[in-house]
Formats: sequence, C-alpha cells, structure tokens
Amino acid sequence: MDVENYLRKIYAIMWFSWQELSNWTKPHIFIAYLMVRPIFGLLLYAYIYIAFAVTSGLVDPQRAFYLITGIAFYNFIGNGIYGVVWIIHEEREHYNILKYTYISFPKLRDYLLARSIVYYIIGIGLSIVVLLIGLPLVGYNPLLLKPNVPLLIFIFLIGFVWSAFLSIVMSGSSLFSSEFGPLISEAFGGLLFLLGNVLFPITSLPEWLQPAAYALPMMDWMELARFSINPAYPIDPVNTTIILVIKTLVYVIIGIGFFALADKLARDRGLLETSLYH
Amino acid sequence: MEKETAIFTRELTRIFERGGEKIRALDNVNIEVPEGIIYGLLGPNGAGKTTLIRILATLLLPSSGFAYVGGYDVVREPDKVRSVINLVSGGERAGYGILTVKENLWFYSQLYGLGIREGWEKIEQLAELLDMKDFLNVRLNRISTGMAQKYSLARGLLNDPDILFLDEPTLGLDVGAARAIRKIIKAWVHQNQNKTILLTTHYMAEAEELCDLISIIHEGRIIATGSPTELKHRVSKEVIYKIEVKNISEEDMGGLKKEEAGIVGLSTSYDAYSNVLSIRLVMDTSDVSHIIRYIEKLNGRIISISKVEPTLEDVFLKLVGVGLSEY
Repeated sequence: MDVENYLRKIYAIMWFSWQELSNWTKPHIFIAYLMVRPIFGLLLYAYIYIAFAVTSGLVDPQRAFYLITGIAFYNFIGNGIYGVVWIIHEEREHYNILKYTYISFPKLRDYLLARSIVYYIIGIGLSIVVLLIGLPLVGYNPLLLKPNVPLLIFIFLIGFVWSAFLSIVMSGSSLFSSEFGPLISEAFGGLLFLLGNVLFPITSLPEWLQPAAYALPMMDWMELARFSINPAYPIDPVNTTIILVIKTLVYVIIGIGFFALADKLARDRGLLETSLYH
Repeated sequence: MEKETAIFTRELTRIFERGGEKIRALDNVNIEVPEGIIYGLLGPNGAGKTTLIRILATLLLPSSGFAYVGGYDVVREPDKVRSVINLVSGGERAGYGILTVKENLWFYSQLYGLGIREGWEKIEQLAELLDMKDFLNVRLNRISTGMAQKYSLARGLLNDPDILFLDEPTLGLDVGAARAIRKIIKAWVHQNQNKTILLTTHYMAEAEELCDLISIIHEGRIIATGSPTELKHRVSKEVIYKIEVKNISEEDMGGLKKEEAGIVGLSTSYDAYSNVLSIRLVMDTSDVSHIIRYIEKLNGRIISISKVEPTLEDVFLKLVGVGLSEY
C-alpha cells in the first residue's frame, strides 16, 4: 500500500471534517458553540456537588476529583462517537454525498474513522478546558495534578481506537435508518455516560446492569485516565491497562465484522442512497 | 484491433420487496458494451435504468445474474470496479454547500488519490473543459442548477475514469444548459478514445444525439438494442404520422380501436395554450381514413396531417405501444 497516498487521503478527509464542522461561522462564535454544552454540563454537575457539600457539610476532594475528571474525559469520548455515528446520516441526508464517498474511497469504515479524528482532537481540547475550569470550581487544586504525558497520549490513542470501533457498530446500524441516525448517536453517547464510570462507580448501578457496564472498555479507560493525571488514584494500572487493551481488541474485531456485514446488507437493500430528504 | 468489453451483464435481475410485494426492477438484463463508445439506456421513469447503474456502480447488489465492469465482477470485486469508474447523477447538488466548488472538487480529488498539486491542476483542466472558471470559487449552495450539473460532471471526471456512468445528466436543466452538458460529454469521449460512457435518459433526442449504441429498457427488460440508425430501421416498414387536432382531448383518443385502424403505436401530447392535441402514430398502413373519421365523429377539428421521419420515439411507440410521455 502507498502509505504517503493513504495519509494524504486521511489528511483531506480531516480537512473536510474540519471545514464541515467549523466554516459555517466566525472563529469566536464557533469556539463559543463548542464550549457552551460542555461548560454548562460541568456547571450543572459542579453545582449539584457544591449544593450537596453545603447542605450536608461533607466535602470530599477525592469525590470531587472523580466527578470532574469523569465529566472532563467524557468530552473526548462523547465528541468522538458523535463524530463517527453522525456522519452516515449527515452525508446521506444533508449533502447527498454518501454514494460518491462510497465509490471513491476504498472502505467506508476507514472513511468514517478518518472523519472522526477531528472530533476526537476537539474532544481533547474540551477535556482539558473542562478539567482546568472544573477542578477549582469544586475546590480541588489543579496544581496537585501530576500528569503522566506518555500515559495520557496512550489514553487518548486507545480511547480513540475502542470508542471509534464501538461507534462503527452504531454507525453500521444507522445505515439501516434514514430517520434515527441522530437518535442513535445521542442515545449511544448517553448510554456510555451512564455505564462508563463517569459520574459514579459501576458498583452503584443496579446489579442487572453491571455486566453491560463491565463489558464496555469505558470503565477501565476512565479509571486509567484519572490515574494518568493523578498517580495517587487508587487503581492497579498494569492490570487495568491489560484489560483495556484486551477489550479494545475485542471491540475492534466486533467493529470490523459488524460493519462489513452492515455494509453488505445496506448494499443488498440499496440503502446507501436512501434519503428522506428532510 | 478488436475492442474490449467495458460492461457485460448476463441474466441480471434485481427484485425489491416493498410492503410484502415483490417488484422486479430488472429482469434478466443482458447487455454488452464495447469500450470507447457512448452507450445509452433509454426508457421511461421506473423502467430500471437507475437500478442498473446502481448495480454497475457497486451501490446495489443484484438479486441474481452477473455483471462485469472493466472486466471486474461488481459483486466479488467492488474495489477494483470502483477504481475504474465514476458516477454522475442528474438533478442533484451533491456536496458540502458552504465549501466552494473548487474545494469540494479538491476533496474528491484527494479521495481519488491525486497528489495535492495534481488535484488543483486537474481541477483547473476540468474548469477549462467544462467552462467553470467563473464559478469555481463560489460556494456550492449559491450556484445555479446548470452550474451544479457541471460541478457534478467535473467530480465524475476527476479520476479520469475508464467507464463513466451518467444517470439522467441533463435532468431538470434548461435547453441551453442541457446542450452545453451534451457538448461536453461528446467532447470528452472524442478526446479520450478508450473511455466508455453509460448514459441513462428518457429524452429520445438526447439518446439519438449522443449515443453510439442504445438499449431501450421497459419494465426492467431490455426490449431492443442497436445504433440509433439500426433502431429506427425497425420502423422502416411502418408509416409515421403526426396529426394536430383541436377540440379533442387525450382521453378521447383512448376510444380508438387501434387494430382496426392499423395503429401499431400511438402517443399524444396536449398544448393547453393553443388547445391543440398532437397525435403521433406508428401505422402498418398509410391509410388514415379510419382515424380521420374517428376524430370527426368526436367533433374534432384537424389542423394538419403530415408524414414524418421516424425517430427513436417511434421505435419505442412500436415496441411498447405507447409513447415515453405517457409514463
């Protein structure tokens, strides 16, 4: 394979994604648009924590750290999965280009992954901003953090891999529905927020729901992400990393297999061009 | 040197299921298109033209049968097929509206593996060929329908495809824009001797003007194939009449007993502005007295009767019994 040629294609896809995402308005409005949702989400949860602390008199820096890091790192995952899952709907319904993309790029799956990279990069920025604003809000000194940069890079890379391939499954599903593409991306993001060790430990979930949460790489990833900026965070990093890598591999295989099947079925049913012309 | 086959199908069938009902969109279609020609697929809306193009462009799987494009199997080797084809559909504006025409084209040039500079150069070449320089830097959502079709055509030519599928390329265009598109299509094929175009249309004149070889498709079946001259030869034994009548409706003509009158095919078109009904008749006799009596019986006033040269419309009329405009 011509690696240089392939990388150029990836660059063009990322450029297109960035243009599509950002060039509808002025830069400062775009930045405000990006920040509004995560910041207001942060303020909501931070206020709940503060209100609880004030009314109960219980201040727990470790819980505050857990809460804010969960909300902050979720931005990376949430933004990324939206990027992967939304594209089928967007290109088929809004721009009528899915069929042209389909015949001009070797694999639709790889195209979707490349399109999502920009969303993930924005997600990193949002995670850092939310972290830096959120921790002082709940009384946790950000200077206490000791970021392990190589581990953080690993966290973001492996986070991209597992969440993008998990999203590929959802994206494959959205091939079959012109109407529910946006719903699939929103619902899937919400599910990961609920089951992903974001606001509370998985053990707080009802017992019947816990196996589903354990099956997702999100919990291990989130724990390792917390550890990557705070070495005192009480987990076994080696064990967590091994489990995360194994789960990631499983989801990569599931993503590839499922999307290949969805692609074939969509082609069989003629769904690549199906549009409701909203 | 003998020409290679660009497109080949055998017993190609596609069945769609809608609401429990099975619809046979393509029914045992056999076509063989030599490279280096413009091949036209002519038929009314719903005849199966677009379904065939979708299968050949690897967007849809056939229910049964085989299709080879550029020597590659569309089912088993879709990636190889995609490396030699491109597709342009008429009547749509496919692209990101807030990007300029040039930026949209550059994006696709990169997907097709052109180098960054090579991509820009190719766009400049195509802009010259398609007369697009005036709107190359205009946002896609601000250009006219005719410009949008030129943009689509440019996108279709970016990868210099061996085989280009044009699905109703002049759909929705005004006369001038349609003529410009036809001129470009002809120029491209003449400049590139080994390139093949498969063009679908329901415009008879367009097929006649552009195509070296035409298949007429009706209800999913290929009912005739040949050059425009060969196809028109199929009505050489018949007589073609054009009759213009006032004070009579299209429905009135439905009561005419076609066999008794010697009519093989009949199509009508009504011009409300002049209140004139134009009747086109493919007849196996030159005697139109039966038809004249019928019109007079309905108090219709005949304005003109003329014998006309056969067109592809008459071939369709003879083969199907009614004109394309009836669909």
